[in-house]
Amino acid sequence: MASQVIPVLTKLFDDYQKTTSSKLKIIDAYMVYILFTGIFQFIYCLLVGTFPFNSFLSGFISTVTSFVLASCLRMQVNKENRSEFTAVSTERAFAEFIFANLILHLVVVNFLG
Amino acid sequence: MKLLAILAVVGLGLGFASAQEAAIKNFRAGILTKDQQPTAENLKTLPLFSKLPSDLSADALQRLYVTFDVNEKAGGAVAKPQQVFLRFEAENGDDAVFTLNADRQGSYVHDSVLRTASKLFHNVVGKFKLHLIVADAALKNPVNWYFGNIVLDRLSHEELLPKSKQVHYEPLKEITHVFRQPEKRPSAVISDLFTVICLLPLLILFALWFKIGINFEEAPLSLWVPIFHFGLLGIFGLYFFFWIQFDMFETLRYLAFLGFFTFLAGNRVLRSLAGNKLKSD
Repeated sequence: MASQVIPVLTKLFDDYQKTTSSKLKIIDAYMVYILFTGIFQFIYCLLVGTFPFNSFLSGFISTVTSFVLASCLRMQVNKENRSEFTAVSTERAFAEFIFANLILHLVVVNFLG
Repeated sequence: MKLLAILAVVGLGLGFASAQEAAIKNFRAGILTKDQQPTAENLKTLPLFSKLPSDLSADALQRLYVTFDVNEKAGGAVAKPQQVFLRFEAENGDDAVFTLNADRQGSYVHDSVLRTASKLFHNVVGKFKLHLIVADAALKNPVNWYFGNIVLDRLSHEELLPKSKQVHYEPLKEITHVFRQPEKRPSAVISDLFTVICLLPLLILFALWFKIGINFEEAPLSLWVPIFHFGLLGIFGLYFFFWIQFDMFETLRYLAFLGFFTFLAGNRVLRSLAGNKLKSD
């Protein structure tokens, strides 16, 4: 089983390294970072408790939503999706991403308490 | 004239009938709890026109139990007087009267839960005189016998009136908001450890970005670029202060200012980037 899976995964990884543009890789790295932050927050909640519940919630929602926003940015920046987002340039997508993040974190900080 | 004649006839009739004399026997009274059966132990037997040696005392959940027989003095047949009452007289003179009815054997039983009974005398508490009244137009010796006292307590007004009928004129107790009490927090070591753990992915992020080869080579050489980036940094710094000390109004005031310049700068920067790309295409 493992002998079959490992070559597949290595091939996948190699192809990713070769074919993905560095812009998308940067976004992917950002998404991995957010993913791990969210996971660690959740582990804290499981192990220690949710006492300042709004704080936990705002932190966790912040990671989840950032992840969603990043994935939206990735979809719009990806050249393979060009046909779907003809009206949205990379720069416009980035500006919208930043704007959405600013609004999101204003709410998150307000809820953080 | 006719009326007078009728009255005279009635008067005569009463005169004849009042030859009867009644005797009250087997008089017993006592306080019972809710489910208690009346027995010789928990009831006191009283001869006529004597008085209970001590006051009865009861609360709303207990029962007052009074039983007696009314017989004709001559012959001992069961007498059925028209008026048999048990009268509660409060200290302020108010009274409540209960009608007693004979059962088949001709004996009278009064058995009332005081909570229900007390509604008739408007839930007044305290000491009551108990009277037994036995009378009839045909009775020669009507009885109004003060046979004892009963002390009622805990029949409070509020308790028994339905809530919709209670009237409060004094101000209600002030309701103060109670914040949720903080729960036990983990020790500072654990909190700090997790803070570090949550910040660790940031290092992963920078490591990955460095490995991918992040650079600022495409950034156009213009004053708007630093304004844009410092504007963004400033907004997130403002959010930090919002968290620490500012309130929403202050924050929005500063945010309007910062946001305006950042928006302007961002617009210029991204537009020039897009323009460059269009040219190179």
